[in-house]
Amino acid sequence: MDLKRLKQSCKKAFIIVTAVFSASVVLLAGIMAYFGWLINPEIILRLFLVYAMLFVLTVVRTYLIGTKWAQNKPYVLVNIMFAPLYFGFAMLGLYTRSSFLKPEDLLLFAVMFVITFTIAQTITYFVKKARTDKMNDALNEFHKEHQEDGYEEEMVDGN
Amino acid sequence: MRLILKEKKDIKETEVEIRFQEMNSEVENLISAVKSAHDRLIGIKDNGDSVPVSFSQILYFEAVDRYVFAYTSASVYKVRNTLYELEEMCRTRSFVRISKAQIVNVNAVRKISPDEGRKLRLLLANGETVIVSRGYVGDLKKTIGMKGDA
Repeated sequence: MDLKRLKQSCKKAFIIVTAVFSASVVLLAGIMAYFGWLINPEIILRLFLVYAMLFVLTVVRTYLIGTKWAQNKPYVLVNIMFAPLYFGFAMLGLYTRSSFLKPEDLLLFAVMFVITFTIAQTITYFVKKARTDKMNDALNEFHKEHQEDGYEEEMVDGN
Repeated sequence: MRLILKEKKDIKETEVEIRFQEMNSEVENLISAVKSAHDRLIGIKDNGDSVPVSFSQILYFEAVDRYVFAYTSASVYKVRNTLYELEEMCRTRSFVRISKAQIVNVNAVRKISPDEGRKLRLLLANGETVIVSRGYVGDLKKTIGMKGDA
């Protein structure tokens, strides 16, 4: 495990999760104030716990994105792998508190979300890939035109 | 052959003038030596040794903290130039800036792939991947001969 990269992942995840957490607190306070509801301390604690788990998830995702394995795969693969987990954590907060959401409803929402998200990501990826394929054609032409200045691999001493 | 050196403080860059009676192999070797000296910069290895590094061997430059490093397939060298100076030096050498901290050798790029947002991934000749920030995608496109809109 690369500790330097783990530290950078923690830093990045902290910034993202803190920003989203702050926005959630402001939104929650706004809604509560609008409807005149009192904020139950349990809600704040649960919100904090959910975001603590999201922080861990975001650290893992950010770390994974920087690995050689992920760099050699389409970027959407990591998004598709982690989206159900993010969705699951978000639903945790709703389900345990809500009296009108049943487990089978949540399962249905989860399946619908995963399918929709996967399709959207795949379409977006292929649209972007069509553009980069044109860039690769231009790159090949560039290499042909600049053959004389081409890249030379450095020889290690003794080879 | 005579070697004449003249210091001229009013010129903007070093000039080399080779005077010859006829073009022969000696003159050609001299021209080749001058050209390859111009195509190199001084890199400092981990052990402190200064070595000439050919631009054609460099995959990319990266600024880290207050230093700039040149990455080849076999080594990493610290260079004394700033990223801005290198950008000027590499303008005619198929290098392009891809982020605030990196300049890449386009001749060493093997494949371009999409990345999140409007960024791009560049697969380099040694298998390494670097990311093109969205603000620099246009520059990369212009360098490879495409219209530059990101």
